[in-house]
Amino acid sequence: MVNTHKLLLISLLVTMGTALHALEIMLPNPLPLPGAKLGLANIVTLMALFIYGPKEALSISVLRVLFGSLITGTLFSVGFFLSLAGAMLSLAVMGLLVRFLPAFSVIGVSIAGAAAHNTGQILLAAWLLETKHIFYYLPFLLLTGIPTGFFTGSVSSYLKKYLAGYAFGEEK
Amino acid sequence: MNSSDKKLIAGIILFAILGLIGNHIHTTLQSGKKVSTQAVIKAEGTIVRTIVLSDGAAESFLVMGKLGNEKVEISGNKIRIAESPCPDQICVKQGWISMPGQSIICVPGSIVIYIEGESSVDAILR
Repeated sequence: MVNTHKLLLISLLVTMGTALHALEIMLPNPLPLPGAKLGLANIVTLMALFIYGPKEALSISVLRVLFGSLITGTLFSVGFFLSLAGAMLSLAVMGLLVRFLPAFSVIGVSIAGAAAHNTGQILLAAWLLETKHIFYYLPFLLLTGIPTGFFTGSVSSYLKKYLAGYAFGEEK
Repeated sequence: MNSSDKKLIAGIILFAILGLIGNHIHTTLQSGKKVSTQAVIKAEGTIVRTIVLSDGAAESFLVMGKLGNEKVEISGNKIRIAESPCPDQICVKQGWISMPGQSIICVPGSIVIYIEGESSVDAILR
């Protein structure tokens, strides 16, 4: 039996994630830092993680990276693989934090996710471009990840409160 | 935001500062052994050109990357990517570099330029 409520909510999350991912690629990056960005799509991943769990969050983030790249025409480019690597590592770290370290608030989880995203991107970029020089940017990216992670974390935290009586309640 | 979050932020900042110190040490070590500096240009993983940077050098040439030709410009001891077909133009925004250890990286075009200080020992070994 298909859970219609779940199906609907996951579809909505994928759609919102795709839109945010596409929007993000279109936003100009004001910093001379490869890979620095707001991480808006992370809001959706965080929501998926809190509403459902790591399994659903994984499908949602893979789908949104795929659809988002399809819309912006970056599918299978270097940037696409970097996004995917970042999204996967950040999801892994956030999933582990939510599961095993509940002491962190949504904001903390989001900042950790941002740091993991940047690390994943840099690791894959170093491997793809065959250069260790890209690690030079990692400290700068980690520092930019704190305010951006704080921002997406705050948004997610409000969203979680709002959705608490709605999505979580209906699920039971 | 709670105390665990703050500890996490402090940890990330600490790690980033250690990284920045590492970067600084790397740059200093590189320039410490310099006799001359040279720029190495890599496209899609292979070194396509190595140029000794010296006063009075002025040149611009094209390097073929994943997205097409990128214009590289040299002026004296400095090198930059002047034009690139990549969408975000981060490599162009990075501007001129001249210190050993610095690099310009165009991720979409898969082009890397880095400067190394060539020590006399390396020169002999080569």
